[in-house]
Amino acid sequence: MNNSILTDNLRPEFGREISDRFTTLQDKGDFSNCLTCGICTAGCPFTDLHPDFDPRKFIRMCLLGLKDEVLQSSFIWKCTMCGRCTMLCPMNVDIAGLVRTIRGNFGLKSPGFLDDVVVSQIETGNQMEISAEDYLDTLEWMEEELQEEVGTTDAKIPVDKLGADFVFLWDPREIKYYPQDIQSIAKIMYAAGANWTCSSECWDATHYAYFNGDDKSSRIMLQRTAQQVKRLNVKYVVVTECGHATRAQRWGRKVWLDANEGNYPVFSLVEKQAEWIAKGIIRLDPSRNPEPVTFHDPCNMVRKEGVVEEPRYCLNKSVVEFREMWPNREYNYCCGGGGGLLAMGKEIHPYRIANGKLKADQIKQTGAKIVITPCHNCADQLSDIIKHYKLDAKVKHVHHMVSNALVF
Amino acid sequence: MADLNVNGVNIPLDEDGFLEDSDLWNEEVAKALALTEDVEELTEEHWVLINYLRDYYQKFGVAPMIRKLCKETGFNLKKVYELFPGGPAKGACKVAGLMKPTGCV
Repeated sequence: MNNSILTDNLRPEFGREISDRFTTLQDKGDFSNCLTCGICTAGCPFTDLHPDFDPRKFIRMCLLGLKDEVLQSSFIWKCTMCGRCTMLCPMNVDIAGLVRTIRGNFGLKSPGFLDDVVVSQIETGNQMEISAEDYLDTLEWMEEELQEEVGTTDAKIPVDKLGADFVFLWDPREIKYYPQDIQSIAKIMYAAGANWTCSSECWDATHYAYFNGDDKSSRIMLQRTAQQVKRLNVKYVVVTECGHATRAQRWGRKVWLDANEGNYPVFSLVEKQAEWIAKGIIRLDPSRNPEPVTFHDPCNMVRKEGVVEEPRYCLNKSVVEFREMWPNREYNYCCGGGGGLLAMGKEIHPYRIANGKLKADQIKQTGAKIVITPCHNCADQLSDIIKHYKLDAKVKHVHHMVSNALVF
Repeated sequence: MADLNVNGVNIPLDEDGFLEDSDLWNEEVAKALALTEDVEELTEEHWVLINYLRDYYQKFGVAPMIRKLCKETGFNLKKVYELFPGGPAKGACKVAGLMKPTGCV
């Protein structure tokens, strides 16, 4: 990055090419307001960990028109799009948005299997290619298990119930590999007396096109959600505990759908749990969760979507001892595996494990035995970090604590 | 993750410790993979699970749904986690030599 810049090699039209293709709610040309102050670089948790990883230089390269260098740079794949830089930027330059635009609009192939996941979602309706039969069978199974657990057949997992308050969207891995999560979530729904439904058709909350920048696929994915809202005649959408899915479903409906298509509210399951606790609709006994817990803020849910206090409220009500890590809330450090890095394979693995050292130190300092995070992507990265840095802790979601503390 | 070395043969692993080539699996490899998942010894019950997963994977090219796995092996979910603390995906499937599925696993 420190070589001489030859003016003959500059492509000044590059900035315009980016702004023309930028998916954003801001002005598409905002990134040209950069003052080169470097606060982005100071705010990036990972800039000091790796050579040539500098958001300020990246913006300069885009604006100067160093097109080839940008398209070949590792920055666009290594950036976890956590948005800490943008939160601190005095000119509100959306660096994660820049990264996403370049990833998806200049003919690049993503590393690892990231693009394959998007194809699976578009072609089969969910990223794990689960058949409708297997999906419905698993819901039915978990309904039976739940009924056995709570001792009544009133506990249901409704499918295609017309006119319910909300449709619930899953992360396909809950269906395929973690069915006990279905039971945990459905138990909370039962305790709250929620008027909810699942969809038999489009039920995948996740959205990998948010990571690889494929806007055409993004629009299709959001249209599917919008269709289910209409078909099932529900008032709103609730997304399972998944950071990027919350962001993609909530912000995404505003950028990829027309105003009249995307006019339904979207909530995270975490917000619903907090609401039910606050209103006294569900009651909890924190002594059921005696081990000290800490909380990792998923960037997409906390910094970008502003769901900051709700998970803390849920934890304070459902566990004996909650310890904050530092820094926290919107100032949190990314887990190091965001932005689709977990799907980028072997090449990017050493990089995200190096990122994870910051988080490992944060967790260690709390002495907590359980790290809670309402995000499956963060959960996997945290598990990898815990294993690699040999920490004595396990990873769970907010709903695990809440469902375990439920008093009927 | 560092590759495995089983009886002098190098077995390449992906970044999550899954086999890169499912055909390189054998019982000795399974034992070595089990150690990476904190399973010290593979008992008869472990092998019931492993063999079911391998048969299914060879037939269909994907891992089975967990309900099928529980039904066919007679183990409930709790038992699966007792056998493989990493769970069905990252524990049992890995030791059975299945390749890591794409997606958010």
